[in-house]
Amino acid sequence: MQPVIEVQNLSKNFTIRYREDWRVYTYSKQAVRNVSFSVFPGEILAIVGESGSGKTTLGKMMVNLVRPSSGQILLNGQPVQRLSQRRFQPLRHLIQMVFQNPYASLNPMMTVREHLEEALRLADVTDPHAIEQEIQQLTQLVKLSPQVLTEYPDQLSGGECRRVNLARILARRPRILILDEPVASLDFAIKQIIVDLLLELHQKLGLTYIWISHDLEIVQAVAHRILVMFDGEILEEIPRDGSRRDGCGHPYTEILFTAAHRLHTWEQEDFSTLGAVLPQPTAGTTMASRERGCRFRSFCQRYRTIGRPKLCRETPPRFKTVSQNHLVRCHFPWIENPEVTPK
Amino acid sequence: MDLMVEGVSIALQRGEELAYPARRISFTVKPGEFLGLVGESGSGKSLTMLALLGLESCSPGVVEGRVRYRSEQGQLYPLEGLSHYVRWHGGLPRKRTAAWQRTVYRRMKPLLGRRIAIILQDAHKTLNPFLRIEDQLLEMVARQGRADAEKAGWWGRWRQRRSIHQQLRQEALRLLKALHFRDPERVLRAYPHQLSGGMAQRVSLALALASRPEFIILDEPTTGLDVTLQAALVDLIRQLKQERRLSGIIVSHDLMFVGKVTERMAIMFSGELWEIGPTHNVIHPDFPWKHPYTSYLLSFARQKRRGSAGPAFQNVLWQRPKQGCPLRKSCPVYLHQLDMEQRRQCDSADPSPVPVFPEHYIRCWQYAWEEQKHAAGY
Repeated sequence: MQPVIEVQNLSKNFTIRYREDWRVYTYSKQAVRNVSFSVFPGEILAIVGESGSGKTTLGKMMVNLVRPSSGQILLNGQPVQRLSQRRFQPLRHLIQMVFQNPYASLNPMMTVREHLEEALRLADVTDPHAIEQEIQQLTQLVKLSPQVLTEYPDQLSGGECRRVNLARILARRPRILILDEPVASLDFAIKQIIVDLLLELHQKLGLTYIWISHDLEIVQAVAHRILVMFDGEILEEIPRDGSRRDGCGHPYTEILFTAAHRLHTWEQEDFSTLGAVLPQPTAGTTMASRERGCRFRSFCQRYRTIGRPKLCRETPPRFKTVSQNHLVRCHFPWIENPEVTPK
Repeated sequence: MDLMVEGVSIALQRGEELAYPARRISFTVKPGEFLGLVGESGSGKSLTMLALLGLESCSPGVVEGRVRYRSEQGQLYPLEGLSHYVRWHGGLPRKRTAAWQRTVYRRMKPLLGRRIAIILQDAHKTLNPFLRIEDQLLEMVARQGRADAEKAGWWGRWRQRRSIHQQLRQEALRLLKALHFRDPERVLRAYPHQLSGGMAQRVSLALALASRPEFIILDEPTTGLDVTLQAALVDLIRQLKQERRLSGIIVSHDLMFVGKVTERMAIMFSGELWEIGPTHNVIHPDFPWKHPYTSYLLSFARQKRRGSAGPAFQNVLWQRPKQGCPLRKSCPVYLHQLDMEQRRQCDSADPSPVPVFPEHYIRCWQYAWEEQKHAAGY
């Protein structure tokens, strides 16, 4: 099958300037490092990782809101990373992004109806009768009550606001949606409802989702494939059901899943042991000093238990295939018995 | 140390209509104990929490009840309890708001930011956008430092005189490290708008902890935090409870998180408390006595896979029935399990809290009947 999006060796450097003591300092922060993956039509691809790991930047690069420093993005085989905003305009029918903060992406001076009308105008629907019909359809599609149409964004609840955003985006009939934390900071019941709605739309309209999230519970239930990101790198690619069964994986994924599991069990578990699991840098090291070798190793429990092998210190790891479609960027991806001799 | 809340009601007035976003809320938080206040959004939990400290801004606000706080030294601070500022005219309250505000402010002043720390839901609103994190954090650390310096006497102060700024900075860095910041130096330099939501959340937590409070109030502490940080927060709160005998209130809709750190849990819906009891009993799926709304909440937390959890309970803030249990219109037990006789009971009167376990109260007629049977010797 032909992938709809192909990302090849994508990187992004941000230059950050700050002032201190009347001098200006600059430093460069690499938000995304050499990321490659592809998305197939009709798929739900989840990207998980801690905050600040570059998930959102990656999403923004795919809709041409952030220009990549290097690398390629192919949309339906067409390279788009150097297109101007104007040239990208026709492709916005193909790919759209739903942002994390729904209130920030709506104009506080416009009613919901005006938002939808504007979106439809951009989709070249000009006939007032057609606009009226489309608005009807869209509100039904996202299950929004018609009273909401006359309201302003600050009158909406969190769930309604997300529905309005979805409706506005669906007005352009995109094929691919990038959902940036679609259900974060929602109440449990509304979270469930929005997830159900998104899955229904996925079925009904045949959309492709890139689901950026840190909520592992939902991601595990929903996604076809999971990419795990840490500090701008993809560390692991997990196929749907192979996640924890084959006993392999990256130590960071291990941390994520353990923490999620302990938070979601009923027993009052002892969290004091979790201190060992949580990523804690060894004293005196920062991320910036990790130019050689595995970048994760200062947080890595496995690296310490197997005796700090030279391989981890010297060579940056490449992806290893541990089972079908399951890729791990680690020198020692086996959890059970790491058969290694420290060198 | 301990906070005593006795029958607090908050009123909202819209024309001639009156609604209670919090109605006769009573609970006690004991030293070294955390209370979880759980409910869905719009259930009035945040408003209750703000009202405890006289920070709520709705009109007319608190109309009855009182709140008292007992400090570590055993001194009793009355916080609310100003019902003499409210006169009732034809069923509507008239409150001398300005005088009330002034009095509450005077009462709160020695406590807030010193003995009691509070973390609001939107962390970006708690931070001053014009100051670097360093300046804000060091101010709080320094305030505590001054208290320490007074204890140290003149010789202690003389010894410390040179490197006060450095020491404060070290203290601040230590705090940020405890909150799992990867690069604390950079955070200290940043302005609030440069931080992400989760980082701002943790910074405001650091601000709160810098004043070394005895009592802490957290409003939705997990928003914007990812799983590893949530687990770290659980760890941190447990540690603080052990080390400093910190007590507090956690207001959240995340049942599982609250279940991990609190000793007691209160379930709130539609402005009323429906169940309050030991956390283990309230959230454990095998515990036999549960309020119908609690089991509804648990059905969301328990399911791993998606699927809807039955019809939702309806919030009756403005359409509260004149008599009977206000939840009965959407209560699955009332609709499907009870016979006519029992339903008549539900229709006739509001249930009162029934003890089902030591310190565990449920407001539901089902348990009131069991209680009556016990009393009759069944």
